[in-house]
Amino acid sequence: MKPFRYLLVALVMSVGISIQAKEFPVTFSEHIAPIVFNNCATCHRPNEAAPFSLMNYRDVQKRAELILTVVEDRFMPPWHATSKDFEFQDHRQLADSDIRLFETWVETGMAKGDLDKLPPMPEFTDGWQLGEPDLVVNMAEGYTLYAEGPDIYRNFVIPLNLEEDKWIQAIEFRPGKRSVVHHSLFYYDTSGEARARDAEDPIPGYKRMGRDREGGGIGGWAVGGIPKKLPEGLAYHLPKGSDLILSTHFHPSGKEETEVSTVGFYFSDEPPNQKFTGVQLPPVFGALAGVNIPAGDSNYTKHDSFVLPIDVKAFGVSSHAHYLGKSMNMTATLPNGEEREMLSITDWDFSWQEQYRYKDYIFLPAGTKLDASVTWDNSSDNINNPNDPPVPVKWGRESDDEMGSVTLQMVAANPDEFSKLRQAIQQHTGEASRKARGGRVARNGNQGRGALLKRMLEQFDKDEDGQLSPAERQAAREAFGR
Amino acid sequence: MMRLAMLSVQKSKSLEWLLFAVCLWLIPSSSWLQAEEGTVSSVTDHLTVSIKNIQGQEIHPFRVDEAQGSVLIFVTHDCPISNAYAPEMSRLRNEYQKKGFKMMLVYVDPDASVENIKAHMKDFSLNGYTAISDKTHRLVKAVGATVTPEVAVVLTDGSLSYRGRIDNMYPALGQRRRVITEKDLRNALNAILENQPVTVSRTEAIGCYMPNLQF
Repeated sequence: MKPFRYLLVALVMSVGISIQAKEFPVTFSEHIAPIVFNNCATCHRPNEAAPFSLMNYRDVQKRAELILTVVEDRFMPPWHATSKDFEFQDHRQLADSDIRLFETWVETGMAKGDLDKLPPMPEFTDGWQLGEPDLVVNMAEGYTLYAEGPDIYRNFVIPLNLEEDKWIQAIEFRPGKRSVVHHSLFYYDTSGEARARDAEDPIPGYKRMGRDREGGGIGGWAVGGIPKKLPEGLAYHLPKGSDLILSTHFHPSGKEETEVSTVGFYFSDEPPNQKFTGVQLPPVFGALAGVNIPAGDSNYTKHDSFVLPIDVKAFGVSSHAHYLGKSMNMTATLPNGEEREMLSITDWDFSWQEQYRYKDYIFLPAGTKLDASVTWDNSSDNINNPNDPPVPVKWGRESDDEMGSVTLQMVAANPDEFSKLRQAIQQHTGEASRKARGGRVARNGNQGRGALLKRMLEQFDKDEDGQLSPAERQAAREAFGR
Repeated sequence: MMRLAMLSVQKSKSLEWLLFAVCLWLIPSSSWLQAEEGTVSSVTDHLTVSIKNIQGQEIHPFRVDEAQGSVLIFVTHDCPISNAYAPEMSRLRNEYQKKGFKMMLVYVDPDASVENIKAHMKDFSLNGYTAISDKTHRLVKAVGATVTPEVAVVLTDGSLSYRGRIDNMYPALGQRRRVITEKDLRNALNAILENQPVTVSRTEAIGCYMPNLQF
């Protein structure tokens, strides 16, 4: 039917790229179905997030060139984290050999093969992936997303009405409209501030990224992500009276949709037997790092480091930035000088914010130095740049502002030493805060106040009118955390 | 084909290229080749093509008649990029049908039923369009479309005045521009209305590749 394709095959074979194709035919049943069923069908099946199903020969043959392109580009399966030294759980990247096999299959005419050799479809669990939750809540009102326009970030407040403190092992998030919900980060709020903001905003939820001061992060979900319980014996603390905040990212789909998300909580019966924490570098999502990215700068980097005061076991890593984020990494330099790559993201994509879990605990001895850096691209070459032409961008909570940090989650190797770790983290944040205020000495004098004001202006005077508006002052207060 | 491959494995690289060139030359010119090579410059051989619209009426999509031109937008109902353009497609029809263009949606998925297409048009507010189900890719091949969404603009003389993307919202698969800076289709249609040459007449459309026909 397509002589040109035969010609291509002949050429490819002749230059020896794919001699193997001659030796054994690549077929759907034997070679391609196992790759597709295990790596794609998790999402590419009915009622899941992906736009079409990939569950049989015709599904795959019909879109073969599209699939080949997106797997070669590594746009699919979506996965951005790498580490030279450690493996991640639920790692979704295809092996190079799988991609070559797929390529050969397409080039040799997409043979169906022996249907008897077709593997069974893996058993997917419908509904709650972790079983029936202990508590199920949903958004009280639907949020209607327009058919087209920029992506939307919005926070939704769900009262939990808990009369006692709880310990969370896992949270499972189920979007109502999978075509538009891209990811959601979970926070709790005990101050009532989030509720008040929601009430002020006439439509469901309120704008602004990130969390409020009185509360904390309790995980997140992104398209393709598999809900996971925390490692055995660990749990997030959820104080009584907390409201749940869903900080949700929407992609318009071309069609108006109304989203009502459902959330399931899995509690542990007993308090956890040990505590865990995150070392965030730079702290407070970079609020104290003086992020001020010049217009057009394609390679603006902030770096921070932290020395572990005790032996720890790391189990997870995540990173955060907004549209201008370009790359981030974290390395650990052990006391003996050996270096370990904890995380490397070279093609940061704002859309795929994930929390990565290592396959095994990683032991890092006291004295290990963690180095993290975040790089932003504020040039017009960055297609995600919200400004055309680019404008200077500072740290802030709106999606057009920037943030940036890498967080390593860990427990103390000896639980008795946990408080030392927490103190060291607080001290590190405190130092960053003092630096941001213009130094300990200067803070007390008039000159210090002047220097502080100058630094505040540099960082928070978004409209650059030389003074802080009430909104800018509020942002500054929140950033400094007091 | 196999013989050709085996033969060339034994030969040196330069010989292979010679062989390749010879093969290219041997290949008869036909519409599918033109389509894959993207060299279609007109549909003059296809002006009489008739195909049923989804209401079941025979229409001639390439016959411009008294209109300014025929605008064929190739779409698939399950391509997220194609769907993301639905609001712009709707605006394009509202604006350019009035200005005298024949506006058509060409659904190219061989497995999509008329019911699928009708439901899709309703869901994405595309009901004003004339819709065609091009299950055998007659229209796709005639204009050399390779992805969805992609647009072909045909003039009275059968010339292919524009083929390519709607605009530059998607620089690559998985990347969406926050600010659209090149509205190539609108530029082409406006130029035609003003009797001006279409300055950018070919662009690369980004989206989902044409679904393969069933073997």
